[in-house]
This record gives sequence, structure tokens and C-alpha cells, in this order.
Amino acid sequence: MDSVIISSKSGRTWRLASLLATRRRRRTLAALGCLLLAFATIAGQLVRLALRGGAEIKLTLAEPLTSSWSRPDIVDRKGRLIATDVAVNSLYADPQQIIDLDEVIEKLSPILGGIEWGDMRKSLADRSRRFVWIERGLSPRLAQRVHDLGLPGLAFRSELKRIYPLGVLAGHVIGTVNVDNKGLAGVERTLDEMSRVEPVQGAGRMEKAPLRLSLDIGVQHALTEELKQARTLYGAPAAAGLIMDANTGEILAAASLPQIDPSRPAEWQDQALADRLFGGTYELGSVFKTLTIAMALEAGIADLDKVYDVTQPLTTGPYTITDFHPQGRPLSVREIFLHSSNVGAGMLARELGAQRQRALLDRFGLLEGMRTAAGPVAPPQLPKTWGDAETITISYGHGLAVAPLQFAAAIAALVNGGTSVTPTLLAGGNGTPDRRRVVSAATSSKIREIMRLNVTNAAGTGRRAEAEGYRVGGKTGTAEMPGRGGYREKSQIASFAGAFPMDAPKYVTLVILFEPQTGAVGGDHATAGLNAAPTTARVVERVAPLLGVLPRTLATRSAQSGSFDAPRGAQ
Amino acid sequence: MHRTLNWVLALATLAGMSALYVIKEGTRRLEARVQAQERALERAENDVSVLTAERAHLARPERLEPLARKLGMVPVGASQYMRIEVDARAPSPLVGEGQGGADRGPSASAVPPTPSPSPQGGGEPTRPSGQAAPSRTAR
Repeated sequence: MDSVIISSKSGRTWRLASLLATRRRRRTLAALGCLLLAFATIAGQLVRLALRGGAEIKLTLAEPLTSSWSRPDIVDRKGRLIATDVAVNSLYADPQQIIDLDEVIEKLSPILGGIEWGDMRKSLADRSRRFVWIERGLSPRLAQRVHDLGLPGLAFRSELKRIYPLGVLAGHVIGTVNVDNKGLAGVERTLDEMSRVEPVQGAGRMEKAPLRLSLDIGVQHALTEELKQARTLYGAPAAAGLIMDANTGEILAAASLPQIDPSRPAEWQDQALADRLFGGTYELGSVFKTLTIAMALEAGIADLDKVYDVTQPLTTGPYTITDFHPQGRPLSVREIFLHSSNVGAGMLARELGAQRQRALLDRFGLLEGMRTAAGPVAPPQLPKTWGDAETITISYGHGLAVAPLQFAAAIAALVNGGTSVTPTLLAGGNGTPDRRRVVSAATSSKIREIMRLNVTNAAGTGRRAEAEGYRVGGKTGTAEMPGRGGYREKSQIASFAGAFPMDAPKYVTLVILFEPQTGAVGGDHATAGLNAAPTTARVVERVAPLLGVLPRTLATRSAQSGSFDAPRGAQ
Repeated sequence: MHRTLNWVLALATLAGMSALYVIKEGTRRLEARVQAQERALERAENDVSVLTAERAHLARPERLEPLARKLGMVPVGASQYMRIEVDARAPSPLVGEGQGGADRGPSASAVPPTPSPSPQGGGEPTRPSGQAAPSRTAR
């Protein structure tokens, strides 16, 4: 190879090896030069960017980063659907793709009401953006109408939306979600806290077991309807009601009126629609005498036949306690309950003493907050000092404000044989709840006796709560609502705390009417015995058959005779 | 020898390429079918949830109660329950109707049974365990 000589026409000669080496060197140098040039360009650009500064880096996306949340269905204790996710179309725009903004707004505005088009125009006119939500959760009909417009720059994205097929029924308990399907209140929020929801892109539903609530939709509806009628009948701006299993604490129905719509999150800011069962605390009045007498029996300071002289008003400091229906004679403890004597309850409480009263109320679970699957219950409002006056006023339900749910749990413990219950919205109860003895079985039995007597006895304040055959028992309470500088005499809370069937109570009921204007006998007699008690009777008559409680007054008929009575009013 | 081997390998490569193309194309089509099926499944699942929600909406007690009342139905009253006394000595009225009953002893059982469908219910044919089934309708 080294010996090959190349000669040109001009006579110059080269060695071939030398020629090839020279060419290789040149090519290598050229390649190196290109690389150097490229690196120099990059370096120069970096230096330029560093020196100029302030260069804005804009990140635009054709798809949003936010994700929706897939939630499990919510069903009632019988598996009936309360809330579910469905895929819906949400409309968005890519401003860079919009050709005629005026046309877009002109054609969309008649279809999509409720959009602030001034702000929307600004968003859509910003060409640096690639994604602007226009309306989320469109119905299929609206989505089709928008699709038929064929406007460039508009597109749909499928995502999940929470649907509540029962409307406003049990709305306060169910809660609500935001536009991204994230729980904001009630059971929906608890689902988030229980990590039962999962982030998803688009409309992918996750397969998860539904959350089974203790509510019974049929019972819930019956309670709600009766409360609605009571509101109209007695002129009450608001009402609340509860039906709870006296042994397991399962809440079968919980209604607060006015109702709230779970599909409208904005309504949840309105205080007028606030939940009165779980979210508010109230001085419930004479229904507390049930607790006072139970405490007296439990402490052994009295029995039902012990007589107290209630003929004179009770004085404590500057206050004088009188009876609403003074009997003008000494009353036994049983009669103190039947006639709802404030003086008698105050005397029992004074004999019991503040310390023991407080300890026993604590045992009932009325002095500290609780929570359910619908979130925390409003904590009780305790008096700042717990002296003689407070001891007496608390004995008849003033001076201590508790959430109605908490009070119902205390009544359940009183009638079920004396063991505590923890209210729950989950079917099957709380698993293995920590059940402790609150009062003895003997005390519980005596309380059942006087609660039933209060309904069956002609002198009982709760006699209008009798529901034929279902053995209702309970106690009325009419409390003045607190106002500026004291109590408002004309604004009352009328309540009836009851249970049925009283021979072996299975269910606790609580009916509360806020500021009722009248009662069963008309006029301005708006005490609980005249409105909350008869409302309870109607509630029990409707829900007892749904709950499988048989009436005691069963007619006996031979199987051979064959015919049945026609239902009342059906013919 | 090498030349022949080269030709064979070249042909084998071509055949392999063709087979690979066919398989890849088949896979692509299958993937497209799977995606289409998945989309159809998703649509069907969503349709099921929409229909379930719609059924629950139509069966809501708030809607059923006025309809039931229009038909003359009312909530079950206590007077509609009765206790049936079965006399063991008397022939059962059900015998002869294929109901048996020959071995029944005397019993007194409460029959709760909803003479008229309750408008308070949720409209679904479920009932709490332990609750007797509706026996018959009386109007």
C-alpha cells in the first residue's frame, strides 16, 4: 500500500496513504467544527437568556390537571339507592381554536342560562389559554343542543357527577359534594374522611361496595311528611324529628325542616336551612324532667310515690320558679312527671345536688360532644357556673343546651333497660359499641312506666300522643327560646320525646316544633302537649307498620270466617 | 455455500418481516376491538347507573304517595291487623286448595299484612327481616 504512487497530469506525485490520511483529518476537523458550532450556539443562547432575564415561560394545557372523585353509592338499610355517580358531559373551550367569539356567546347564551357571560368572554378572549370550563355537568339534552351548534373550539369532557334520586329527602344527613365530586358535608364528607373515594380522570367509576346507612327511606318519608303537615297545622317555621332504634342506636329517620337539597351545595351556606337535629343545640324544656326523675330514682333519694310539697313557688337567688299548671296540692314524683311540675323537678334536683346532677348527666353523655357518620354533632352548651339556680333550671330543661340527637340517645338508654347507646347512621350499628350501664334496670322500668302513664292517663301532658295499639310513652317539653336579655315568651320550642312500644321499647321518637303558633285546640295554645304530642301519634301510626311493630289491639277472628276489614278511608 | 446461506437468511428475514407485520396488524385490530368493547362496557355501565338512578327517582316515596292516595290507598291502620285463631279440630279452609294444613296444630298468629300497599314505602319490594309477608289486599 505504501508503495502506491499517484501522479497528476502536471507531473505532481502523492503517496496514496498520505492522501487518505489528509482527507480523514479534514473530515474529522469538519465534524469537530460542526459540534463546536452547535455547542457555541447553545452556550450563546444560554448566555443571552441569562442576561435578558424576565423571560416568561407559559405552560398551557389542552386538558386540566384536576381530577374528579369517584364515590361509592349510598343506599338505605334495605338497599334502596340514595346517591350514586353518573357520567355527564362538561363543556369546555380552547380559546385558540375559537374563530368567532361573538358567535359562540350569542349561540350558547340561550342554551346555557346562569353563566356570567361578561367574565366568560374575558376568559375565552385570552388566546394564551388552551382550556376554559364553560359549564360542567350538562344534562344529555343540553349537551346535544350544544353539540348540534357545531361551534369550533368547543368540546366536551366526560366526568362524574353525584346524583341524588330522592331529591331533598334526608338531605341534611346525606350532605353534599362540590363540582369535583368531593364531599363537603354530611355522610358525603365522611366518605372522604374514610378514604372511600378515589381520584379518577374522566368518568371512570370505581367498583366499591355501597355505603349502607341505617336510614329506612319509607320511614324517613313518613316522618318528613308528618312534620311538614305539623308545620302547616301549627304554624311552625321549622321542625325536626328523629326515630332511633332504642337498643342499637341506629337512626332510622332523621328529618330537619326546612329541607335542604344535596345537589345544590350553595344552599349549605344558608343558616335558615341548617340542620337542627345534629347541628344545633337547644334548651329542650320539660322533656329533661325524664332525666331528672331518673337521676333521683337512681340516686335513691326518691321513689315514684314520694310526695313533695309543690304548692309554693321555688326560689333561688333572684329567681322564682313556678308551675305552668299548678295543682295546688302536694304531688308524688309520678304526678310531678304527669303534670310536668317545674317546682317538683327543681326540688328533686336540689335534693340531688349540683355535683351528682352533673355526674349523672355526664353518664348520660350529655356533657360532651359526639360524632356520627354525618360528621360531628354540635357540642352541648354548658352553664358557666353550676350553682343552685342552674341545678334547678337544668332539672326542667333550661340552662343546658344539647343537640336533639344527643338527648334522644339519653332517652334510648333510659327506656332500653338502662344501657347507653351510641347514635349511628350506619346499618348494623357501631359494630361492637362500648355499651355501659347508665341506670339500673329497675330505674329504667319505672321510667317506662311513667312515660306510658303520661300518655294513657287523662291528666298526662302527653295524652294526645296515644297511637292506637302501639303503646306510645313519652314526655312533653315546651321551652322558651333564648333571646336578647333573657327568654322570649312567645317563641317556644315544643317537643315530645317518646318511645314505643312501651312494654319493650324498640324505637325512640323525638319530635320538635320550633316556634309553633298554635296547637290542637286552636288559639294561641302552642304547648307541646297540643302540637308535638299529636304529631308523634301520627308519626307512630304511620311508621310502626313499616317497622314491623304489631298493634296490641289485634282483633281476633276465626281463620274460617275469612274476610278482612276494609282500611279506614279506603272506601 | 455462503451465498446460498445468505439467500436463505434473506428470504427467512423477509418471511419473518411479513409474519411480524401480519401479527402486528392483527394485534392492532384486536387492541382496537378491545378498546371499542371497553368503551361499550363503560357506556353500558353508565347506562345502568343512569337507569338505576332513574328507577330510584321514579320509586321515591314522595312521588308514590300521591299516586297511591289517588288509588284510594292509605297508610296501614292498627284496625287492619288481626289475630287469626286456627281451630285444629275444624277442617282447614285451605285444605283442598293444594295448601296442605293437615299437620297443623292449634296456633294463634298475628298476621300483619298490609291490606293495602302502603304509600309510605319506598316502592321497592323489600321488607325488613322478620316482618310477615303481605297476605292479601282488602279494599
